[in-house]
Amino acid sequence: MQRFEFLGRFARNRGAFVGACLILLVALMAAFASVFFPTDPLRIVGLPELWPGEDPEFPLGTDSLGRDILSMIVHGARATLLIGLFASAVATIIGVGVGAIAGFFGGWVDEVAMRAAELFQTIPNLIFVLTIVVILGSTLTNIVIAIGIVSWTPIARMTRAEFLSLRDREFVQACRSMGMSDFRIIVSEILPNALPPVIVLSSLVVAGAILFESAVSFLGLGDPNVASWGRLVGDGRQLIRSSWYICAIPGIAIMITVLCLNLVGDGLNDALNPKLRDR
Amino acid sequence: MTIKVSRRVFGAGVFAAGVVGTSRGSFAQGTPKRGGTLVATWGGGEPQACYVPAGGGSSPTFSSSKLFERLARRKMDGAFEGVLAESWKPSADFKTYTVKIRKGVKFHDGKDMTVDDVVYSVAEIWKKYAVASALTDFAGIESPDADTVVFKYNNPTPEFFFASTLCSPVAYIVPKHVYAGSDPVTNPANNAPIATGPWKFKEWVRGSHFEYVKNENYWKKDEPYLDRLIIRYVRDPAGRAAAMEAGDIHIGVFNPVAPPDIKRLTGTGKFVATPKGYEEAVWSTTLECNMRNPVFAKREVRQAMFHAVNREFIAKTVYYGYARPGTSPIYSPNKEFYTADTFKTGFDPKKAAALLDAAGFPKKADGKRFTLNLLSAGWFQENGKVGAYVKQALEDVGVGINLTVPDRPSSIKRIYTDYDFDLAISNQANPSEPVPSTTQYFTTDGIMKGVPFRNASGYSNPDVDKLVASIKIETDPAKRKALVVEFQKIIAQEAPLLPLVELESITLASTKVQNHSNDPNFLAASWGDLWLAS
Repeated sequence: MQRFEFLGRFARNRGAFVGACLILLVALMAAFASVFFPTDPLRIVGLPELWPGEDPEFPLGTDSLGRDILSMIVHGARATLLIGLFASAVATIIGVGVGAIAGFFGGWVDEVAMRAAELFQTIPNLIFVLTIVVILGSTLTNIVIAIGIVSWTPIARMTRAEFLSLRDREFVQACRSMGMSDFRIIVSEILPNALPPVIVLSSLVVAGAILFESAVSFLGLGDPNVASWGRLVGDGRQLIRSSWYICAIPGIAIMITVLCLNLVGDGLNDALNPKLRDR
Repeated sequence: MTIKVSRRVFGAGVFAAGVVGTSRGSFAQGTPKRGGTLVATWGGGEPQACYVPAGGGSSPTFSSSKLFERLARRKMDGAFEGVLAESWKPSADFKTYTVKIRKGVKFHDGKDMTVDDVVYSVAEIWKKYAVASALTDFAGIESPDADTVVFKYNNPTPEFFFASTLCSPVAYIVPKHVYAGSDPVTNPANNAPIATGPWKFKEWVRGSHFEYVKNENYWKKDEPYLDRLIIRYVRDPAGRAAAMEAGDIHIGVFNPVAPPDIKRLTGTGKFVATPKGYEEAVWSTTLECNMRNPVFAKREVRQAMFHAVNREFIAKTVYYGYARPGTSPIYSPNKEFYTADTFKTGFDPKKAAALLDAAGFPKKADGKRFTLNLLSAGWFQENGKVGAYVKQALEDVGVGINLTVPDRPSSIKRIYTDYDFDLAISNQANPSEPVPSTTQYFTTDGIMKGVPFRNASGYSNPDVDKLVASIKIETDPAKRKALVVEFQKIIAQEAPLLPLVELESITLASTKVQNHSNDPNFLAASWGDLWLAS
């Protein structure tokens, strides 16, 4: 019953509903990419720079080497979503871990953790990502790790704030007096209560991660063995005066996906935030 | 020529093409008009200093070559012509060369240029920095009288090799009274040079441009025709295209704009594009096999890598037609030494597969024979595209490929220091004289860990080493050519490193600019004879 209530509140935000539907579509596209386009999307299959519609075989045209843009968009959805989700997972794990420990224990642990977080926040994110990718090498895993490393700080601060307000509540004190271990209190008592705003933030980190990956690929530092949207934009940049569709199509895909993720984030906020529940 | 030459600053974006202008022959009509300001740019960035004694890449070569002069230059027809030298003559044993120096040449500060300046430049700048690798046999320089210098060598030195050394970009005659007693590399005059050329340094506005003014006392009576020469730096190709279209820049050398813009700008009839003026600095995109990987022990496997790749496709699609398939380590515009009659590794995937089968690498259950790391040097955007295509082409013959396209510093480190690749896509620029700039990619002494643009494949063949040693000292031009042909035949068949395509660099100029692209390395020419039509 509670679950339906949650869905209902989520769907009350129209934008979030539309966003979620579109994200679902992108996810389906990613999941069934190999069914629709069984060959390697980076294969050269036709003449270079065919405009969308010029050849019915390539509805979205071909890029400067003659690769099918539709196939790259569909396969790219997979890479882009995977990067987004995993990078967000990495950021959430680090962020929640650090934030929970800092908020729960306080004192010097808190000081150290928060100064470390500030250190990460002072480095411009994109430059930090590029540096990590250049040092570790441009593979998909390294890009995910790099994005995770720069994106965890807001989650850590949010988790810490939640923990600070929850750790001295009566129910936690009750647990303490029952002799529960710190670990158990953190994981099974405080964390579930602290999680809703963190989930909202994590969904936004997915959107941020997609933008980071696009920027990295655009600058030519993406994994060249994987079709991703940002890379397609980067490849097409040189031809923007003549064949602008090469940049525009993946650009629109990125824009729609990121916008939808933000809308979903808003929807989750409405659904999970008790203060807005009866708005 | 040789040497540190025009390994220009990598970073210029784009190679390539579109439609080349119509003009054949020289871009000159009528009598030169005097006066006016010419604004020029090139397809790369601002140099680290106006003049870099060690060369420093094409960017400082471009900015310094308008101010400084060399002893000699090569003309479009291939003949050598004295600049600050009037003539040179070898001794009977080809171990000494007597060079007559031009009289009546003054430096920009009014002092006379003398043989002392020449002796100083050769002994202190050329030998130590500018053309060190061409002077390994150099034994010293003397001046018997006020207009003669004598170059001494330990071994016979071919005339073409000697003349090419005199013509090397950045083999300048510098003023002894400015450089003597200082460290030439850090001498402040490098950023406000005093030299002998048609242009005098006026100012360098960092981040924007150099301004040069006419040298009123230039030894060539009529030159320069223009009053001022501005070299402007624009960071990206689209910006250069816009500036040229607006009439703010008259000429751009070395691929100033993206290929589609070349087509667009020449289409207006206000611009011409030409591949001429790069004959002494021909660029290529190369593929090399790392011999340290045991799969490349048999040369058939190396040949198969090239047979699998359609070079025509690369030339047409990646470079928009502004490239030609490469066949030999010496490139086809090289009239002295190129031969087309070499072993051919043309596009033939069936043959590639057959060679790999025969070499003991049949396809395994997963459809792959073996998997290689392909590194495509990320300093040119095109290299990434070539890499993507080569990956596909090799996968088609059952070779698994992991492609990486690192940025410039990582690419240099991984190819030339760590040797961390199985196959590498890189670029070279070679002058006509093959020793040492071409040969050092193949000789054992070219394996210099940490030195970029040398033998990174690790290929070592006593026959090739011996051959190159005799090319170095063979003074009979016909016999020397025969040796270089032999060298090309061995390398083309052995295939440790071969060009995939030879690139055509493009100069884009307003139709008002006259007398351009009239030097086989136009970027490094003095530009005293340029003029602007009204």
